[in-house]
Amino acid sequence: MTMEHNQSRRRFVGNLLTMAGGSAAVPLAINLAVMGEAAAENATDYKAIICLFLAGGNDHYNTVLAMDNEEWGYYSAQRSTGGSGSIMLDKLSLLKLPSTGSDNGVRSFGLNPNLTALHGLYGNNRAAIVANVGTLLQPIANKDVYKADRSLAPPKLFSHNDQQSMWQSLKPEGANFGWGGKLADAKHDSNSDHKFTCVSASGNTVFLAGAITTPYQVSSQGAVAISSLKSNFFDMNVVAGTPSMVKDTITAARDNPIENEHAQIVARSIAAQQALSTNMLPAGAGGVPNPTQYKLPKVKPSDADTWAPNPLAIQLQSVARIIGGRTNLGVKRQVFFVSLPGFDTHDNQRIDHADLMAKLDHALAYFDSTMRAFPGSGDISSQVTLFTASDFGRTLSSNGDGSDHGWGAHHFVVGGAVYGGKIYGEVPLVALNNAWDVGSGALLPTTSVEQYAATLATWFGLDGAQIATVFPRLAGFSKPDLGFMKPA
Amino acid sequence: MNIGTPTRLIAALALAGLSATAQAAAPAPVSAESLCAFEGHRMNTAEAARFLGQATFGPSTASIEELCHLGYNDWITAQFAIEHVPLNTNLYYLDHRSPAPVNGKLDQTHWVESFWRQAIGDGGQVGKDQLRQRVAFALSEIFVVSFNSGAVTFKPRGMADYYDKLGKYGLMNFRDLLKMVATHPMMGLYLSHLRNEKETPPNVAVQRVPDENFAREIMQLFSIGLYKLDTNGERLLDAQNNPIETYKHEDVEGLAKVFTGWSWGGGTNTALRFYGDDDSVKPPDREIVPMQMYPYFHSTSSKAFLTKTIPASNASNAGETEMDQAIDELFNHDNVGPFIGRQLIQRLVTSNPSPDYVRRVALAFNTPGDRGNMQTVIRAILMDDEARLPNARTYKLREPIVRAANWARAFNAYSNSGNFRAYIADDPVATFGQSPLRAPSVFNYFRPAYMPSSWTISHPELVAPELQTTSELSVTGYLNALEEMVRKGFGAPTYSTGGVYADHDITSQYVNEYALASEPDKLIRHVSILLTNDTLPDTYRALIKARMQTIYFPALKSDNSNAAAVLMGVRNRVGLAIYMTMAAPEYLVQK
Repeated sequence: MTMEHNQSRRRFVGNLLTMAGGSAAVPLAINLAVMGEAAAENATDYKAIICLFLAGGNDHYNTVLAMDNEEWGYYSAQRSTGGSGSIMLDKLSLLKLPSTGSDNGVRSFGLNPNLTALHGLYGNNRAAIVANVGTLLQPIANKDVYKADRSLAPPKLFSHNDQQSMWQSLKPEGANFGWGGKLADAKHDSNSDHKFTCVSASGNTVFLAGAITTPYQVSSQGAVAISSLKSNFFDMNVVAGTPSMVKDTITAARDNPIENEHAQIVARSIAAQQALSTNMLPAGAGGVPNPTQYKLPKVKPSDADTWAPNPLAIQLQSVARIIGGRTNLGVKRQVFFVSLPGFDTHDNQRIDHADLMAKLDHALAYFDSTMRAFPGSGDISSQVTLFTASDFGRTLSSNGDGSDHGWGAHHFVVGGAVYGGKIYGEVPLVALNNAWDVGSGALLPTTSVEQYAATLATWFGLDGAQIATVFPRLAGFSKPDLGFMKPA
Repeated sequence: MNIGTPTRLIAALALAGLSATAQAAAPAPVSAESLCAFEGHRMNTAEAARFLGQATFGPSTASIEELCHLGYNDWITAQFAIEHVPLNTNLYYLDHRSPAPVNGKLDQTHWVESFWRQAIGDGGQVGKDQLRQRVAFALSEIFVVSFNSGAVTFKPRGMADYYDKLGKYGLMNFRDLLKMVATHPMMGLYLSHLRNEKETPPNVAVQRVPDENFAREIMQLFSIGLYKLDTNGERLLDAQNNPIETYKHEDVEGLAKVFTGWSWGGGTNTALRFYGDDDSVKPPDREIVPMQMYPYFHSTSSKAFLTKTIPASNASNAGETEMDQAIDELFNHDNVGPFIGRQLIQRLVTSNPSPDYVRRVALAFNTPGDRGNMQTVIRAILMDDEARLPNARTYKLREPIVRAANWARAFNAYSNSGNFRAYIADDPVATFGQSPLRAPSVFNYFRPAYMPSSWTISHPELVAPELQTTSELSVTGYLNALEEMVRKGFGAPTYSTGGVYADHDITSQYVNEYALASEPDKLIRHVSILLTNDTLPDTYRALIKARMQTIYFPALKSDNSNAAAVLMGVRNRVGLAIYMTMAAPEYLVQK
């Protein structure tokens, strides 16, 4: 680091301070970039993290299942409510996991029958399971401690929007920055251009918002231009200068905060489109292969085979198309967001959840094969890590054809940099009234989101001080790194 | 472009007053500037346009004139007096659509047609109740039910009826509105309390618990919210300065038991009908009639929630009684006035009402002896000084549906087919990016407290809900869809004889605007009044004018031989004025 550069950094931060009208209002994340500067500047590699959000609260009880007889007995006692809506899975259909390498001794586990590709990735040590992860402010010893003092737990448990926000930003709804955005802030200096440091293929999300990193939203349609900025605006004999007049007037700064924000978004849109039009890989031929359609789970064994497009796989294709332009886009660290909605399975769960698992599995298979044979780069799978997140887990109890909001849940981490083939952390005994059951089988988490996230952040290249800043509650937990990622 | 036959050309020019060929049937063009220039006008055109942007799907020349005659209060009274008759409902449109839908099968596109027919108005009685329409739309963003859920995707009649009832009960009493919402089968399907069964007794081996989905959301989203509020909408704090939660998970569990035993209405309460899968128990109107009680499936244990404890009961009418008790408990909670009032202000008037504005609306809601009168609440929202007087903090981003409706009403657009064949427009890149009753989840298209992260430092005290769905993608999608709409309308493409692509189904003739094409200042002012209540800055007008003057615009020859070139100039001038205005942040932010 040269002195001159150091000064320019100070000036940059100084400018922000001036804008903020004083240091008090400057978020910690701005300082992250300064703190991590030395390490980041030497980075010649590329790394990306993809958050795959299972929106609505995934039923982890039907995703990763404990198969030993005693636990299966407790599971079926809660879920075999009979009738066509019963949400109990058939034990014989489960995909049994290899028993080695679990933090859970000799207990045996299986995956949802629709997760065949993920089962293969787990078997090939390319996917890991992290057990009973959830939102926590501090470790809570057991349900009795929780019930005696609810203030130990995060606010607004069981509320979709608040727990989505807790997962993504470590605060309930209303948070301004997510930990994905803060990771990007910390590695800000790795990228020479910041338009594509954080990219969502699934709409607006607090996860990617940073203090100095503004997320970009991408669609499968790629770089669409504003037509009035081209020469054929309307039918008119366009006089030279009209397009730039249009551009200047709709992007100029305004006094009104919403007008100004809108003008800035339009300006960013124009700049991003120009960058992407030449640097985002095409879909299909000459670019990132198109995903196949996924096979719908059969409702009845006699049903014919049917296939449909998988929107999640298409989102991952858009992500890959951006990754393909990483060199020209000037990025060495990226954070992405994709999501699959529909996990709030209060009813019709038997059919709906099977379909969601099939989509998830197909998308993960597509992700893995795409990263292992990346266009023009070969195998980059050890540079791109995908993890799942969700509002919360669900109850063990059934309402007859669905399940209700829970808390902790099991999650997946996929990629070549993952120490796969293992379940990290304790899977609480599948039974009502165990030490972790806060009601109807909703699980008090044994691993916090911050431990899960910090493990990824360490691999991403944040140093200890940066990690402590982004994850302020991590210090309260005994294991700041869960060990599921290979060394950075 | 296809500019049509010479006859059509001459007719268009005649409408624009540029041709000597008289058009007997053509209405005289109107300039917005002069709409309120009569003796005894109650306000000026800009004030009228401002009000109509809040209270309706946007001003038209006719509605500005009407309002200038009546004044705000009498206009509101007149709107409230428009009866909600079955003939004018969305359900009626679906049931009587002409031509009949293919194979007689209705789908959600028919709902979309009906929505636009109501929002724009069909020129007759449909959509004249603009205040009801605008309030119904606002309520549909609070009491969210969405075609995006497979549970209701194929229920267009039920969904149309739900929206009709938001409009009907939305101008009655909030208690009745809340009960309608709680017992409508579309809400029952969407939040899964239709077919919700009581808990199993404690000694049974296989345990089943009631579905908590609706119990949770009716409190969090439809009535009281998460935190105890002052009458002014601000959170009350405890001794440690922390917000105070309105309910705990145990309250959700207690209330969930109230919402057991409800399922399809319209017949005897047999188990077969409760589950509802058998064709013999599917009367055609079951999507519409309120859910009914099936005592066998209703929880008989005691139910505690908020301040209420309903004792255990197995009386045959317990289910209905307890529903009423639950609705009363929620309706009478101190939070409802500020919680719902503030959101309605945000939907109609401004993203950031002052605490005093919220208090005034909440006090209207709390009117002693007349609690929850929605007409009182709506009048209080629209007549408040913060809505009526110039106020620097009164502004909000217009959402995409409102923008398209503004255009259609400002320029007297109509449906060529009569069916208002607009499409589902969710895709933010290829379309406007918003369709009615198609929010992504029960949390609506956007949340009431959303703020862009960049405001954390610059404007930490402000929110901008509609910005949540504004992105680099959506602004491009909007500007491109806008250009297409200004030129050719929106909705399904139509074809002239010979299969030539003409315009979209919903188009404007721009009668008033063509007539002003030779006077750029007047044209720009006219458009600015209709779309921005005359707030488009002078500098911006000057830019439009400068560009307009570069458009080739010859004088019409006496033999009409250069009519095509003249019409091209007219269209481009009008198009430029409207496009540039609607692309401007000054339009996009309603003030």
